Amino acid sequence: MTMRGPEPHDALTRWLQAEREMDDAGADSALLEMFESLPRLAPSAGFADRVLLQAAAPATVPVPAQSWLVWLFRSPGFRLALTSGVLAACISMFWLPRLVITLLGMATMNDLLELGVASMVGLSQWVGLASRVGEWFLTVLGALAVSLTSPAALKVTVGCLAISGISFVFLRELMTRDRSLRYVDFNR
Amino acid sequence: METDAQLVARALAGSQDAFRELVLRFERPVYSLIVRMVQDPGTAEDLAQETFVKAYRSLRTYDTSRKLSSWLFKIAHNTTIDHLRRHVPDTVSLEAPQDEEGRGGLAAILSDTSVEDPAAAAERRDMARSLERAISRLRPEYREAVVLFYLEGATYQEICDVTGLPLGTVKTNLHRARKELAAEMSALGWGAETGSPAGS
Repeated sequence: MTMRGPEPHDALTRWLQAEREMDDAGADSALLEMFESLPRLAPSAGFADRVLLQAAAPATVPVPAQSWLVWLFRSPGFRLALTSGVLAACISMFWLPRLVITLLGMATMNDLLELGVASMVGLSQWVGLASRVGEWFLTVLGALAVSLTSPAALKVTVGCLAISGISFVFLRELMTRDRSLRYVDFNR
Repeated sequence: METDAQLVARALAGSQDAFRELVLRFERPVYSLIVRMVQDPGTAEDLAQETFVKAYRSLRTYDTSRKLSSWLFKIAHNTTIDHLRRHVPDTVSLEAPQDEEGRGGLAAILSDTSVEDPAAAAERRDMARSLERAISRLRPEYREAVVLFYLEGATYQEICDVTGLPLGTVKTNLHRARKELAAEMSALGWGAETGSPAGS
C-alpha cells in the first residue's frame, strides 16, 4: 500500500476557493485532482468469475403474462361456442326479413307518435333540471366573485395561488428527479 | 498487452478468457458509476454483473471503431435506469452497517484504514464520506455526469453518447453539479481554513 499525502485536502481547498472566485477552469482541475486521489470503488473478489458463470447460463426469456382475452380465445370450448353462434346467426338471416315485417305490423302509426311525444317530454324535463342546477352554480359563482372583490379576500386568493404554484413546482421537481434519465441505444 | 478490440474479437471467437480479461479491465469503472447511481454496494454489484452479462450477449453488435468503455457505460446506464424505475431509490446511510455478505455502505468502502498516518486516514475518510454524501444528493443525471467526467475521465462527447443528452445539456449539468457539490461541501463544514468539518 502506498503512502498518501495531504493532496485530497489541498485539492478540496483549491476547488472551494476557485468556486468562490468564479474560476471555472481552476475549479474543474482541482476537482479532477481531488477525485483522482480518492480510493476507487471495486466489486468484491471473484466478480469476473460470477459474470462468466451467469453469462454461460442459457438466457431466460421472460414469458409475458397472458391476458384473459388471449386465454379465452385459446380455449377449445369458447372456439366451439363462437363458431356455433356465428353459424346460427348466418342461418337466422334467412328468417330476418319475415321477422322485420311481423314486428312492423304489430306497431301502428299512433303507437309511434305516442313514443315520440313521450321521449320529447322526458328530454325536456331533463333539460329543465340541468338548467336549474346550472343556475344554482352561477349564483354560487356570483356570490364568490362579489366576496373576492374585497381587497382582503383578493390578497388571500393571490397568496393561496402563489403557495399552490410553489408547491406544484417543488412536488414536480421531487417527482421527476429520479425519472429524468432516458434510455440510450447502445448499438448506435 | 492486447487491445480492447483484440479481446472482443477473441471473445466473439468463443474465448472465455478474453471476455474475463475485459471484465477485469472494466469492472471498476462500471461498478463505480453504478454504485454512485444506486447508492447501495450490493445492488450495484448485481447491476454491474447484469451489465456485463448483457454486454456478453450483445458483443456481436459492438462497433469496434468506438470506445468499449462508452459502450459498456451505455449498457450500465440503461440497466441502472431499469433499476431506478422499478424501485424507489434507497437512501442508504453512509454509516450503514455491514450486510450479510460483509459489505458496508459507501463510506465503509472508502475508508482506507491501511494508510500509515492515522490523522491523514481520518481526514481522508471524513472527506470521502462528505464527498459521497454530496454526490448522493445530486440529481441522478448530474451524479452520472460527475462520475463519468471527474472520476472516469470521460470527455463531454462520451458523456453525450452514454446519457443520450445534447452537448449543451451535459456541460450545463456538469457546471450545476459542481456548484451544488461545492455548496454541499461548504455546508458540511469543509472550507479553506479548516482541515476537516467541525464536529466530525
